[in-house]
Amino acid sequence: MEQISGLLYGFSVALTWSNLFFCFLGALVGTLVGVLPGLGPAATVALLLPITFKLEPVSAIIMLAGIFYGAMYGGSTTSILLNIPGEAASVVTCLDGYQMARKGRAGPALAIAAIGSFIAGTIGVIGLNFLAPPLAEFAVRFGPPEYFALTLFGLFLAAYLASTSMVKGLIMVCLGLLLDMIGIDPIAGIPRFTFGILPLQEGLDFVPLAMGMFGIAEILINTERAMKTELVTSKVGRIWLTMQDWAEAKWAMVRGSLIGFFVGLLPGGGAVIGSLISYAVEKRVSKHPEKFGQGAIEGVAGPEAANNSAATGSFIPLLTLGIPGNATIAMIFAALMIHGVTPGPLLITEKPEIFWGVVASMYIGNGVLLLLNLPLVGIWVQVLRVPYFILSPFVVLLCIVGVYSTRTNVFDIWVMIAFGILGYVFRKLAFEPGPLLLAFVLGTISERAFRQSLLMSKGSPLIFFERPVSAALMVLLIVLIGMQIAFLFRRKSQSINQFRGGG
Amino acid sequence: MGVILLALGIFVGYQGIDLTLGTPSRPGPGFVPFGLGFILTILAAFYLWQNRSNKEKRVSPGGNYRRTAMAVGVLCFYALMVNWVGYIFTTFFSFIIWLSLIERKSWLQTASLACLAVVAVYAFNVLFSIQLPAGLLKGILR
Repeated sequence: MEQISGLLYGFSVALTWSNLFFCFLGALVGTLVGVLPGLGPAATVALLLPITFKLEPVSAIIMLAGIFYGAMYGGSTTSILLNIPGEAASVVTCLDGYQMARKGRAGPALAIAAIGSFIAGTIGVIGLNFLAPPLAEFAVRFGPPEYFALTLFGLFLAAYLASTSMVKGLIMVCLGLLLDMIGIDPIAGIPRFTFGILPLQEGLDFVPLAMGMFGIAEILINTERAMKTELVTSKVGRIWLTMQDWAEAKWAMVRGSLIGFFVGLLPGGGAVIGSLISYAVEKRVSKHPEKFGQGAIEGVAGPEAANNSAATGSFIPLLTLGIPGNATIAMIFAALMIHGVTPGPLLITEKPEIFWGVVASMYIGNGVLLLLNLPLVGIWVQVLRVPYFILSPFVVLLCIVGVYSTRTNVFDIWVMIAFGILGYVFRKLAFEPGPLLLAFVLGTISERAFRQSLLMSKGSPLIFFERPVSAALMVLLIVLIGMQIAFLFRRKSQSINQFRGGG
Repeated sequence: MGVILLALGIFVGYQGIDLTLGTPSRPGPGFVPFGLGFILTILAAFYLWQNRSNKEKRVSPGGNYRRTAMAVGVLCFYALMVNWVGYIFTTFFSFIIWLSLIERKSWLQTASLACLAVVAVYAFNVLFSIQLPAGLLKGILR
């Protein structure tokens, strides 16, 4: 079987000393990032992107992937012990994890989070292992209309799922696409939106934009609030689970793994939504829903499993279609492009060492993370004692050095500062930066596919409805937009009726 | 915010026309920007209308803006000074300003963390051959 032989080849790549080291380093840094509040995996991948320039592409991606799924493991520690999510996907873990810790059950809460993460991570990698190759084979036949429909659908879903408001999400997508247009036009070769500024001729670089929007903006938000952390307990205690804990949590982990994996496949889905859906499902299927929010172990097991399998599942659209589904995956997409590797359907055949090497490293990484997060949990608790006033200026310094190192140009530091301020303002106004970054990454692919499609059809937009895959995606998109508009008008008329009734 | 976005949408639309729209069968470099400017204008108008009727202003709670402004100031200081005086001095003084003015830490803590930052940035620069500007220390530093 092709998948088995591919995986064996992958292990031969991932089990070299250097790749094992980078897998371990990624898992370690990811856990650290997950544990430390105020620095998410997207910001960390952006921070460490310049460091990977000197690495082999496969080592770089193994490390960056490790940071992503490692952060999903580590995020639970902060949620359980501090009631502050270490990263966004661990928000719901606070609800029951923190309550368990307050009742003196921090050990079992941390244990079920780590075991759930391991089971889900492994299920996710098995899914990636067996689903990605046939999907890539199918996607080889895709032309510009399919790619345009896919990117459009992906950007719409990102705006829909990643934002609290559809309009705000779509505005961010438009801004991301516009920012990507700065520089030389990919088809006509004419400069656009450069306003005579020479460094803009090459276009905006991804690294300062991402570091500004995620790294600097996050620091500015946290600096404003003068973040303080307080541990609920410094002693984790016994981490072993009782038979009752295990019986209550086992199906929650399986359900969470499956939900997370399929949500992770959707553009804009990802770990946050996967964990939220899993929590809602667990509460609904539970015989004792009143226990949720009071320290129910299923409320930790399900969401923690979901955020891990979602993180792994989101690699499928990236590695098979070349379409990143969330902000962290967009950073990994950029890393691949910087290393001269174009993610897409041909990746498995043209660069098998990267595809299978990364898949095999995920099996290893999940094992490493279980070891890092179960016996060594006491060390991570100590890490939580590092004051934020020390962390923040060092993160800023890392951002500056990282940005400068990409093109040895101070102009990029200014770009990062500008996007840091912009990212701060967007967060204050509840505009999610994720869709902007995704649109920035997908902008060139999308515009080129759109213009090539129109050239192919001699200007007829019907080309997007003439081919089965693009037609299905476009129809789905139109239905989703229609549903959103209907929902908005219904809500508006309801609020008018309420106002009249109240008046 | 809505007004800025509306103005941006109109501006991008005009720029699209300036860049040559082309025809649907042969779209020019301004074709997609024009379309995006048009969509952004509609979205911004809708956002303005939504905010007007919902009285929705700011979602995130306010905090200490002085600290944020000072943090931005330190970042600008770094970008302005690094080419002139070099990364060693700029890092040292940026940390001094950050820790003493924003975080209000003691002089001992401030100075020791600033020294640690200098060592870290020097090690980083050498280890990864970043070539940060040496400035005043040109000829002394690698």
